[in-house]
Amino acid sequence: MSNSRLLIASAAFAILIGGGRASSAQPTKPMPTRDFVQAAQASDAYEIGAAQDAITQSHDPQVQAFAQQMIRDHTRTSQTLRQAVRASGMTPPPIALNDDGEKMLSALQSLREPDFDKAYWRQQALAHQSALAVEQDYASTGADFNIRRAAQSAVPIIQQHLQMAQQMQAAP
Amino acid sequence: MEDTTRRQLMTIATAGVAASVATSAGAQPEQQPRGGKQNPRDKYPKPPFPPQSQPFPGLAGQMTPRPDHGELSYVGSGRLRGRKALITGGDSGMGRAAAIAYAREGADVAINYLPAEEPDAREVVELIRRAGRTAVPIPGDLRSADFCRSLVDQAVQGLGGLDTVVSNAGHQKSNASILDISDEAFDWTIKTNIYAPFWIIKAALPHLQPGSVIIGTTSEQAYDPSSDLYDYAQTKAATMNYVKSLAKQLGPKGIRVNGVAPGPIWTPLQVSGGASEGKVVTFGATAPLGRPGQPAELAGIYVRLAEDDGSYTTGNIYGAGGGQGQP
Repeated sequence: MSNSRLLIASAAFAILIGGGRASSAQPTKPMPTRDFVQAAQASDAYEIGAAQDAITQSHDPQVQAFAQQMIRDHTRTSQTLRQAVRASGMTPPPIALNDDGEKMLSALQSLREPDFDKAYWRQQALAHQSALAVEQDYASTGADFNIRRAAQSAVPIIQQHLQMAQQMQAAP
Repeated sequence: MEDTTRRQLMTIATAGVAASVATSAGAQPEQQPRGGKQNPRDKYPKPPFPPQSQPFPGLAGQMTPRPDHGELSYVGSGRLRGRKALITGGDSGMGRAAAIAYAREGADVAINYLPAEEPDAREVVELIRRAGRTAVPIPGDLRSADFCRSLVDQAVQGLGGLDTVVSNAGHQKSNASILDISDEAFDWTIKTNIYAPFWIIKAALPHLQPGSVIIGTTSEQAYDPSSDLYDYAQTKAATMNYVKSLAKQLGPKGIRVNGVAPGPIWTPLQVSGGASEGKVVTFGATAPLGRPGQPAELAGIYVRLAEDDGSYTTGNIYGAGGGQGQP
């Protein structure tokens, strides 16, 4: 298993998604709406893809249950965001993975038990960390009212996901 | 075309070819090339796919959704008129797409496949004959040097010559760890993917006149291998490499050698062990086009590399990767 590759990809993902800004210091510039929408959609797309892989590939009932929830929740957050974008008179961009989501999903696709579950939790903890940073950033400083509200509604959902993923990652 | 309709039409066209498609002998469902343009993202099915697995080698006819090899869509225009082609792995996947396209471009086609793939091969033979060409089915396992030599003999006899060799058959098995690969399993991959092309090309060469072509199916795996394809990926790198050395060796003989490097393509290789179950469900999700490729989308490459119009292309690898990977 390409452990180091996975970690590098995950770290790059975190930085790209804005994980570097998840500190108590104020960001120097509010995140542009376009950038936020693409980042949030890329995050949802990765979550759904990784969950679909996990449902089939994992034999662990906890992984499968979590993955089912990821599909439900991230489908919902994605729809909520796109509705908000339209409500503000804009056209939502096509839903697509970004480079790091692609790398993470690609790494996951090559794994089997028992490495699969470990990697899935590790990726989920990292990915939700980054996603939370992005959502919180736009939720507090974003320019568009509707989209800011969508981000605000996503924050507690992602916080819950992150907590679960971190717990599972820490478990022996 | 909406997916359900396309699937129904394909099932009719291929499963009951002789009876159901009401055209005269040799004619095709569509006479005119389609032209125009479509959003490539929407042309074909996207992941997630239903979880599925088949025992090796697997049948295209049993996949959900069925792969598209160009049965309904490929329209030829005489680009390979008078040509005589041998295609290994011609029952499904890119080999099948090439076989259909070659026949519709005017070539006679011999296909090799494993005996277990007979149901798929029957459909391809029928499609070649409906295009008005000679079809020569030659089942057998490529892991034997004797069979490879016999394969070429039978192809030359059945076609009345040989000028196009498409070494496309491949064995792929995903293993998370090198420790999971037995000697026998490693051998299986190397024999099928490296030895067989060697034996076949050697046997074919005495028959290949100047202007003949050899085409090897390589893969994006040759350039950026997946962690779970340690054995398969290196054979694709070997294929990419032999294309280039042989092109140099055979250039003075006027024989061109080229390769095709696909990204993730929806074929039985994936559902019969080539990919993990989770990868099958999300197959192609990593590609910027958002879906895996279909064999039909590579048929034109195999035609291009074979046709006389492409006479300066040799030692080259043409890709179709959906936006990911090399070349």
